[in-house]
Amino acid sequence: MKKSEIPKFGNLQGLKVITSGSAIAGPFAGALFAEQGAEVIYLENTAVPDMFRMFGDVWSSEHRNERTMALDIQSPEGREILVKLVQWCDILIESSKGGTWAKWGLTDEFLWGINPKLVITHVSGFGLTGDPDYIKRGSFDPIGQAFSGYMAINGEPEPAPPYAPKPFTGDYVTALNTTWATLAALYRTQQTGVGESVDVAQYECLVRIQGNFLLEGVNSGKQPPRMGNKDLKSALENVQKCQDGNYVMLALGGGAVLRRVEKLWGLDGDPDFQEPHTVIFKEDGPRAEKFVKAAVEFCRTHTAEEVDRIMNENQIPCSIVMTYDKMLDNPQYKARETITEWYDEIGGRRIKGVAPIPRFRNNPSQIFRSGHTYGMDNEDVLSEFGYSENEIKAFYDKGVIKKK
Amino acid sequence: MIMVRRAEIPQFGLLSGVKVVHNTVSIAGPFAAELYAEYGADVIWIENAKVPCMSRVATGNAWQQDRRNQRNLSIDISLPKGKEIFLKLMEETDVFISAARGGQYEKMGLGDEVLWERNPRLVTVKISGFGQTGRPDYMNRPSYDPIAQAFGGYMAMNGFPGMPSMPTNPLTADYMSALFAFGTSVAAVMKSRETGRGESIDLAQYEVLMRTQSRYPMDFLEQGIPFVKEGSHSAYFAGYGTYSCQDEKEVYMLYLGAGVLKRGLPFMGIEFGTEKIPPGTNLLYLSSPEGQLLEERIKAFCQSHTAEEVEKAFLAHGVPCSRIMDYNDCLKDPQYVAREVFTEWKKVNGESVKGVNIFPKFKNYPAQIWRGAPNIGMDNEDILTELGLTEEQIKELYGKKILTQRDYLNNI
Repeated sequence: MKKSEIPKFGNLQGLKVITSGSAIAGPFAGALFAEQGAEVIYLENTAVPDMFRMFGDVWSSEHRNERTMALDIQSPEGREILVKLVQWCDILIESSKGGTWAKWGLTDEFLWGINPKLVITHVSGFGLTGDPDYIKRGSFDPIGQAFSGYMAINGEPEPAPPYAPKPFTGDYVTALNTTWATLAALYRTQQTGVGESVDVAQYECLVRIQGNFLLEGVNSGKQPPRMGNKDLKSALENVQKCQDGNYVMLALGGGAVLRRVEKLWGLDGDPDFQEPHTVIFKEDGPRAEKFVKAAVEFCRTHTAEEVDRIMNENQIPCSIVMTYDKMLDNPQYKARETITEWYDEIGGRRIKGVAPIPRFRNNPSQIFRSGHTYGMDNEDVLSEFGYSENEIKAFYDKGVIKKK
Repeated sequence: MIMVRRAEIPQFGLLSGVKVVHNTVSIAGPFAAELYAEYGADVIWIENAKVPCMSRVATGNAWQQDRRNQRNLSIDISLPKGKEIFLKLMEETDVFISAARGGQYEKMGLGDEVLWERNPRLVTVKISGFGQTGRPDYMNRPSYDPIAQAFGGYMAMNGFPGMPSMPTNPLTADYMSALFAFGTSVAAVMKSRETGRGESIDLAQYEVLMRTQSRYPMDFLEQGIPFVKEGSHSAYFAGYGTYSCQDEKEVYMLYLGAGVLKRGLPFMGIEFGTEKIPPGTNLLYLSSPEGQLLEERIKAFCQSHTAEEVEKAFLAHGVPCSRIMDYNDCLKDPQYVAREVFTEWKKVNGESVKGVNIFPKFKNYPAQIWRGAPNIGMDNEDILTELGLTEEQIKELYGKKILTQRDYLNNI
C-alpha cells in the first residue's frame, strides 16, 4: 500500500510511528494509533514471522490500518534503512528483552543522533534497569502476571492454585500503558523538540493496577486471599446460575441498591432488614442468610434474560455473563456496532471483529485495511524512501527483506 | 491542612501545563485523571458535596494512591450556582472526564454543545458502562466493574472449567478503561491544540473489554469456536501452566517457541529434533504422548525442588518461568527493590503511606509524587479564588451547602 492510499482521519492524523516486536504487548500500541489515523509501519523479523500470526484471525484485527516490512535491522543494509525510517518517524516502539536494541548498537543516544525529537518506547518483561539477572529474562503474558503479583490474587480461594486471567490481560494492559505513555511523551516533545525514552516493564504495568489489594498487602504485610467469585466480605456470591443454565453477575451494594433489591424480593418488611445497611456482610446472621436464600431462589426460578431485565428495570446493577453467541444477538452490541466487519487481506474475505473503541465524535476512527501479510509493503515503503527497483531486488537476494 | 495553590504545583513531567477536571468516582475516571496528575498536569477532582467518593470507603487505602497529586473541589454542580462555577471552570480546562450513565450530562444541561460554547477546545471523556448511544434501556443501566466484565464477555472466559465464571481482580475493567480514557484524551488534546476544535470521547466499559480479548472473539465470529475456560493450566499445550513445588509455592512456566523447546526439552530428558519432535516445533500438545511425558517430568521436578530452585533451573535452560509472587515475595525481590517498584509518600495529614511508584519510567521528564490524595474540598478556596470568586462569595456557597469541606483522612 502506498502512502498516498492511506486515508486521512482521526486525532492522530499526521503522526508517524514505527513498531517492532512480537505478539501483543508492544505491537498492539501501533494498532491503536493506526485506528486513530496515525501512519504506522510495523517491522517484522526476517528470521521468522511473528508467532502471533499462528493465533488465527486476530492478526487481522491487531494489525489493522498498518503497513509492514519484514526487515533485518541487524544487517548493514537493514541498518541503513532503519536509519531512514528513524529520521522520518515521531515514535519508535520496540519490544524485546531489556537492552536488546542497545546490544545491537541501537542505543537511545544513537537514535537521538539521527532524530533528536524521537520518542523511543522500550517494552520488556522486566525493564531496562535493575537486577541484571532479571533484565535478560524473557517474558510472556502469564510470566508477567506471575511476577507482578497479579496471579496470586486471582483464582479460587486456597487450596486452588493461583490463576492467570484471560485473555492475555498482562499483555493488553502493558500495550495500553505503552500507547498512552508514548503519547504523553510526544505531547512534551512537540513543545520542546527534545525526545524522550520510555521504559515500560510488563510486570510493573500489572503491579500498578492492583488497587486496594496491593495497598493493603504492602502496608499491612498481609497477603489478601484469593476470592474467585466470592467476595471477601459480602455474603452473596456474585455470579449466580439461572433457571435456563445461564449465569448472571449481580453487583448488590450501596444503600439505595439494597433497598430496591430487598423490596423486589419482599424482604423490605422483614425486621432483620430495618437497620440501615450498605453491604450484606457474611457475619450478618439471619439477614445474610435470608438475603442469600432470596437471591438464589430468584435466579433459580427465572431465566438469565428475565433476571437481567427485571434487575435493570429496578436500577439494580446486573448483567448476563455474556458469551460470544449472546453478544451477536444483543441489542446494545448491535446498536453500537461493537462487532464490525472488514475485508481481510490474508484470507481474502470479509471478517468480523471488534470495532475501534472508544468512539470519537469529531475525529472518528476508521478501519481501512486488515492485518497485513508478511512483508507485504516492502516495495511501497522502500520506494518512498528513494530505493530503486534494482536495489530492492538486491535486498531480497541478500535476505535483508523478505516476503510471503 | 495543607493547601496547594496552582502556582505552587511543581512544574515537572510530560504533561505540565495541561488542565484536567474530573467528576468521577471509584477507579475508571479517577485513575485516568491520576495518570495526568502523575505526569505533571494540573488535575482538579470535583467531589460530590453531599456524598464522599465511594472509594474513600469501599477500597481500603487505594484512593490514597490513586488520587495523589490531585486538587479537590467539593461542589454541587446540580444546583444553578454550582453549575455556573463548573462552566467557568470549563473555560480554562483542556480535558473534562465524567463517569455517568449515557446521556446524564445532557439531562443536567451540560452536554458537549453547552461546554463547547464556553470552550471550543475542550476534550470531554464520557466513561459509562454501556455507552452514550445505542439502546436507551441499556444506556440507562447502572454499571460497576464486574457488570462490565460480565457484559463485555470477559467474565465468561475466566474461571475453572465447569465452574461459574469469575471476574478478574482487581477491577480490571475499571483500570483498562482508565488507560483508554487517558491515552485517547491525550491524543485528542494534541489534535485540539492544533485545530482549536475539541473532541468528545464516548468510552463504554464493556467495549474496552471486548477490544482486548485477542483471538477469542474472532475465532468465534469467524469459525464458531466457543471460548473454553482453561483454569490454571493450558487446556491444549504441555508445559504451559501453574505447577506446585516442594515448598508449596507455585511457579508458572511456558514451553512455547522453537528456541524454548530446543533448550528446554533436553533439560527434561526429552530429545528435540527427532521425527516426533522435528526442528522448528513450537509447542507440544497436551494430548500427545510427548506432551504427557513432558508434563510428568515437569511435575516430578517441581515436587522435588523449591519454587526458587525450579525458577532458576528452568530459566537456566531458556524456559520462561516465574514464581507466582505474593506481596511478601514482591517486597523482598531484588528486581522490585532495584527498580523501586514500591515507594512511600506523605498523606496530606503528614503520615506516611506505602504504595506503588509511577510507571512507566521516563528518561527526560520523570514523574513525581508531590502530594498525597486530597481531603474533601481541601482546595475549594484556592480553585475558586483562581476563578475570580471573592471571599464573600465563597462564604455564601458554603452557607448554601453548594460547597463542602470535611476531614476524611482520619476515618481511614
